[in-house]
Amino acid sequence: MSEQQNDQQLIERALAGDGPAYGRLVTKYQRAIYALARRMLRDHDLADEAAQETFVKAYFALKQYDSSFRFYTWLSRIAYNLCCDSLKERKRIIPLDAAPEPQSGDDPLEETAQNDTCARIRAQIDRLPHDQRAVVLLRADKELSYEDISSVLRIPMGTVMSRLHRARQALYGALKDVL
Amino acid sequence: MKEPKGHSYSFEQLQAFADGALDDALARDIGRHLAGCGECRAAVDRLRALDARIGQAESADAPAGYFETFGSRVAGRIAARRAAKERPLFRFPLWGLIPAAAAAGLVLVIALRTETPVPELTVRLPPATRFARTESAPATGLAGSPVAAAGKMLPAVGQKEARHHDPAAADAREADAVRTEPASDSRAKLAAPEPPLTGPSPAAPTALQARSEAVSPPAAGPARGTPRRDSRMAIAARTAIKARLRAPAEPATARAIVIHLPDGGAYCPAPEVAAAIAIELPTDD
Repeated sequence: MSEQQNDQQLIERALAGDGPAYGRLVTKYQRAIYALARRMLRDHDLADEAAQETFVKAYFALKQYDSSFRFYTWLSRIAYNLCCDSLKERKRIIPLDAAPEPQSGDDPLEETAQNDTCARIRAQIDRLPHDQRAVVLLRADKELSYEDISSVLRIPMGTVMSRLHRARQALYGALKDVL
Repeated sequence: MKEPKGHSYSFEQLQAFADGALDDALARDIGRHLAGCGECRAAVDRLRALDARIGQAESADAPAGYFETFGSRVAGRIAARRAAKERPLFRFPLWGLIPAAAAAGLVLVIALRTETPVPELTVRLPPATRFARTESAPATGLAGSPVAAAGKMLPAVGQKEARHHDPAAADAREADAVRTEPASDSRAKLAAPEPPLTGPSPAAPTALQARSEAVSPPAAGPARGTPRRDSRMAIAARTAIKARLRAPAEPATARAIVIHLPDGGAYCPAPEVAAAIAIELPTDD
């Protein structure tokens, strides 16, 4: 049985009132959804909130799930929208120019060179325009194909490719020395 | 990033190749091209290196043990959300009850003014029938049911008149015809042979009239003098109805019974009595 068929079976059972079936879907995708939210939000607490809320929203909207898409793609779309809402809220509370620059850590001595590089890469990604940043972050764990990303962002696949291209060009230019 | 120029494949195609997003045929073609083109191969290598770095930098690790409780926390949220959805969106403050009470009162008034149709069985007792004041008649009531809710004496023979109860006439007739005795078990007596009544037996009714028009059942009245009166009327009615039920197509399901008395009055047994007659007779026969 394929992953999609397995998910569909669990969804049908969940819709029939089988709570543990939905629990299995949560267990299966919790790490990926949390990771997506964490990348988007750069904060554990916000990511935790968005990840949990993703599964709650998905549960109550399960009837609306279109099985022609992967369940993970559908979850990613919910998570992405929640993260965008969270980012907007944060910008409303903390103006962008007042927001602190991403930092690698409190104690530089404890930071390895590797961590510094990772922090620098994250900082560069955060400097990308929002549309390019979203494509890079959705693609980061390679779980989502171009087609999946176009479904999540509701943009044509060609636009996904061109945004990814531009983002990579910019990142390569900024990070050439560490690559 | 330096893009290869003047090559067979665009940078976006090379990017898709690096991402493994091409169909097999195109991927094979580009693979063959890369084997002979160092510039394109270098571009793909740079893309893969950048991608690997991004993946490394964006590996979002959660705190230890975070996922062990994730599912239960989601389940808790779902349960709380579901409970919130089932809760009323808002609650009535006390003053909100005022219009509700007014609406309920209106409904009650309308209900009281609306007569509920009840099948009626009209029985005309023989002209000679009398309800004596003697002690020979058994004191009867209804088994297991307090007969405090008594029937009404109705002043006239006509059904339309019978529906309008005249308490004064009823009282006068009641005083003349009925003695007050305490209620006792009468179910068996209802089923037993008719008790001795003074005057001719009502067992041979001369006129029975079954009607299908609807009337309201009589309202329950005071208990005074009712048990015995009800039981005697019931016995008389029962006999008459029994005879009538032998004829086909009688409304055996009648719940309201009007008994036309020989003296021109009419009597509606209490609802309990009427129900007992109507319900028990068919099986009692």
